[in-house]
Amino acid sequence: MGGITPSNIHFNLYRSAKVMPDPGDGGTIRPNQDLQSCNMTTGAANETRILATPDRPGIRLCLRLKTDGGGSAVVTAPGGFNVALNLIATFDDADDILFLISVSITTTTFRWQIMTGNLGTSPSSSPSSSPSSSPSSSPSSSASGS
Amino acid sequence: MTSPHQVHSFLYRASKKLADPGDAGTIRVSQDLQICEMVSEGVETRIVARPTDSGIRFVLRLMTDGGTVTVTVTGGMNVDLDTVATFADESDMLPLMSVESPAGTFRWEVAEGNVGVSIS
Repeated sequence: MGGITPSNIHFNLYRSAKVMPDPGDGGTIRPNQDLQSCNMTTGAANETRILATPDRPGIRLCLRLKTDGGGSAVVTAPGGFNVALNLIATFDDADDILFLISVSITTTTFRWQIMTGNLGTSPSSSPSSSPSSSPSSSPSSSASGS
Repeated sequence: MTSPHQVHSFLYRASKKLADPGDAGTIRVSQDLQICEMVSEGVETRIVARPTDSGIRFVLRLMTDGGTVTVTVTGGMNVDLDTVATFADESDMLPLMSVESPAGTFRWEVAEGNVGVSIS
């Protein structure tokens, strides 16, 4: 098998797996590759995930609830999801999705920034035991991307 | 030799930062998937050079707000050929993708995910 060259890099990008495993209830999602997609599955009860704070800018991640077993997935990003530093995104239904990119807070600290998606974020400073009331089909007034 | 299945890992490790050229400087995108995070120290300007191919993804963002940054995007950034993007607040962010329009000519197109940037 040959190596990556400029002429084949996009072909290899297409072929290479982009799906990172769902760590499950209470687990930490920790992207260590670019352009990954994490498809979560929930069971009957509400679940939680933590999205690890990024360590560099420009990393793109797609976070999605693939299978809704009845429970919501409440994802906490300790570094925040936007400039308002909203910390919580609640995935209630299948295909609830966020497209994220890591950005710089300073030259040495980073956080996630929502680029687009179909759900909002919550301003809670700590995860609640029940999912937020943010509707899954439209961004909440707490801002979906700003 | 880099194996194809390592490509995403290498993408993660490779720096995506495009240096801010500073006030009145030109941002010239030369790699795919780059991010330029501007720092302003007053009211400033930038120019984004026209792309030279289609399909290049680029994110322009105001990291530190010391004053509004007015960016002129050479060739326009939408079908209306708007050329001015104004970054007024910290974390204002504009994802772009280069497109061919018209045939043989390339320009930027605003992608989804505009955060707070006014276009004119």
